[in-house]
Amino acid sequence: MTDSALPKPLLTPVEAQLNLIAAERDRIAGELHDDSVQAMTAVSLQLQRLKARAEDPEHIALIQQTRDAADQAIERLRHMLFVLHPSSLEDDGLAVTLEIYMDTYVKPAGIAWSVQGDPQASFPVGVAALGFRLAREAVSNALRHASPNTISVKVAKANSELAIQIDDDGCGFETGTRTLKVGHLGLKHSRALALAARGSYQITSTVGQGTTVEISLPALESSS
Amino acid sequence: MTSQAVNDCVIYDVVVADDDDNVRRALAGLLGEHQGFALAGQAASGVEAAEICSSLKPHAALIDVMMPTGGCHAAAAIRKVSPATIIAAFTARADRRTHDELIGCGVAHVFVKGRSNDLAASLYRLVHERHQPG
Repeated sequence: MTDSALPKPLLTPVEAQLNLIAAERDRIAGELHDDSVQAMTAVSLQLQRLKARAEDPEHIALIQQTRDAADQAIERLRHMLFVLHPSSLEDDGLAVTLEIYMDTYVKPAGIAWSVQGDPQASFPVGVAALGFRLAREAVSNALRHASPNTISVKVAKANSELAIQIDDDGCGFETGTRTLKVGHLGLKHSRALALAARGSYQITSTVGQGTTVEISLPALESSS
Repeated sequence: MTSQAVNDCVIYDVVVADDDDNVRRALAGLLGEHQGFALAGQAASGVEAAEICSSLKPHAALIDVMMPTGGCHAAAAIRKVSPATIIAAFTARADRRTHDELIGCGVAHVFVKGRSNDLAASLYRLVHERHQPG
């Protein structure tokens, strides 16, 4: 029996469900690109043509404002495509995908960043997708609320688990539920997602001393 | 592949490729109306783009990246049949890795959807620089 003829390891029910969710998010991202992004791109290009023909300065300014709005919509859609299901997850793995995210969205903010992880470590796509989603949310929270100088992400596979740790050196916050602000409601959602996948989600934060988020997700299907 | 000049402006033949009718029509209109371009052809796939480029040997090709055959495959196919054609990609992806991959496939420049303020003029500068060195 050759390797290719070996049966694939069975997925746990949770992994199978996570794979379905990842596939659905991938499908939505594809439709967003093929429909909304392309439609807005056509609008933006046609406005470029219209602007070239216009002579009245007021018309030119109005067309440019309309085009700016269309381009901003494309920018937001592009971000949504990446966040929904980055195609690099399947091709290059979780650590590389997080590097792409940090390079594209954290570096422009002037914040130092790092991602540590074995690029060869392999996880079921649904687990990797959820790991990316939770890590990205944690990084996004740090960007929006913590004013950090540095954000670092570590990805590891140990004992059939995907472990992700996100550290920032920002302003930190009180972790008690009574003091959770509206902007931190995403943390509750992230924790709920991790627990639903039979994983864990821990936040350690001290005001003035930064925040650490530790995520653990079971990943029984192993190829590393 | 010979370029002509009108009012001191060198005119370059260009092919556009996008599987979305509305985007392809808009790209064709935008480049066709630019004084520095003559629209040589339109394609709805990478395979079709390579066929047109093989036959017409245009100065430039502007290709969508997420066509069914894929931007890298399309760029490599065009490079094979018409090595002198300057290939530019048009993509929704802004990450450096995607751009590096496209450059590795023979794309001269990557334009990002929604971030190309004056696409026709930018493409013209690119093609002019590459075809008129020095």
